Amino acid sequence: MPSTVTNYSSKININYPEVGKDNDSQGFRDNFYNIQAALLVASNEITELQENGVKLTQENDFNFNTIKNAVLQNTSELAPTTVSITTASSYHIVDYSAGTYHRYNITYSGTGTYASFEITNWPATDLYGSVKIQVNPANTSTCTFNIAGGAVTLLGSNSFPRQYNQIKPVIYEAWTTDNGANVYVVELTSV
Amino acid sequence: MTSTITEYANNIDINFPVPGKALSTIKEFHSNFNKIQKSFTRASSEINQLEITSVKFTENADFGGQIIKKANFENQSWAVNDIGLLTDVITNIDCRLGYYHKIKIENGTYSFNIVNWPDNNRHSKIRIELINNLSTTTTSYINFSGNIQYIGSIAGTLTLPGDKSAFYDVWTVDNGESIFVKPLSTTYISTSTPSGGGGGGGGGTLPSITYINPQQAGSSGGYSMGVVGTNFGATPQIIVNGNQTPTITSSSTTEVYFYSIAGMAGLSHSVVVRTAAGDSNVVYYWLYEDAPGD
Repeated sequence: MPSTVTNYSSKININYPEVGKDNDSQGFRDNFYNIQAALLVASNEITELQENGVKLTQENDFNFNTIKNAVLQNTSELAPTTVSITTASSYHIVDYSAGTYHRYNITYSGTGTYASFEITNWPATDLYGSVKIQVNPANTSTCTFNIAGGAVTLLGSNSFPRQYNQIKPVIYEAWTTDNGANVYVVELTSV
Repeated sequence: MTSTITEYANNIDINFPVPGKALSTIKEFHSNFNKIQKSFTRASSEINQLEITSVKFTENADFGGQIIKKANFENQSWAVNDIGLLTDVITNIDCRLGYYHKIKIENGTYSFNIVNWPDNNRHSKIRIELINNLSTTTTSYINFSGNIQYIGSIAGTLTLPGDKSAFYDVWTVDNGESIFVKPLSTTYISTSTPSGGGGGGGGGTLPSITYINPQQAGSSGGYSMGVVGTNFGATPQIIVNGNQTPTITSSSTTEVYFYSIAGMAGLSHSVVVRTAAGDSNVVYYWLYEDAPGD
């Protein structure tokens, strides 16, 4: 959108008052009006830029507008604070809007845990969103994990719920293109 | 860039006219109004420039290859390029159109050519979803063109149950000079022999390449390339990069030799043996020659 400041500033009569003429005071008022109007337009346009322009010094919310042809350097994605799984059976909301890497530590001291994860706040349909879930078992006792919500397809020969007897982390990548109606999951670590 | 509005604004005489003093010249009014107008013109120009080149939260932004640095991303998403049902063997996938590319396929032979990768020394990755457009199982022959290096195992034959999908991550760091392809799952990728009918296959046992045997003497005194394997049949075809058919110099049921293709020396290419039963597994190797008989 081009600036419209000159709509008014171009009407300023820079030759007023005119030599050898009876210059009435209206000419001054006209000039001052155009000066004021130009300043108001400039102020509005600067305000619009200040409110909607991207700042290098603060958080920027693009409201799902497209960033195109950008090269990313030294960027990162949010990983919310690690959640402790303290009970034998638990259910966890994985909030996509809060970050794309979610970590869970099993701190339950008993043997055998079951944890189910449901991913919420996916991007709108026809947008691709991907999230990683990492679960860190405390020991080699049996852990059972499930990803629920929508039609969840675990790629590979296995299916949910999955059982593990390992101390190394279990990491899944889940994604959707239809707001979570269909969610595909790959297991990034092998058991 | 610093604003230059003050170049004029600073010269406006804010004390003019001076009380109790006769107006020396009308020119001083002119001079002040002139500087005011020039200040506005300069302000307008600078605002214009900002409005054209600034990123807005309210509009899509095209950075033209500029770098976004040290940013943390939260609640972001990526554009989806829905290509729809393929009718051609060769499909260009334009990586400028999105990160995620949805493609519907049926029984057939499909060769994918990724185009418009970013410049050299930029890592760029796309994800491809191949969706079976039918409710019944389909068998397709999948190939990616270019200097492809596969991560993990992959078969040229893709068997998809009805309405199911297969996924591939494809990336490059050198403008597509070398392209890496990683199937995300082998769930729906079958290495079993289809019983014919699908994707040009006519039944029988599929050919299988065991190893490559380069630089065999050609009939014209030069060199040709060779593949060794089983079930090559009476009249095997060689398919390079999904759609090119080099000249075969000699063949048997276990060996096929063929000339290289002009302009393709020095890069790794996919090669399959195609018979009436269907396509073999895919092998990759460098073509040594630039033209037949070199």
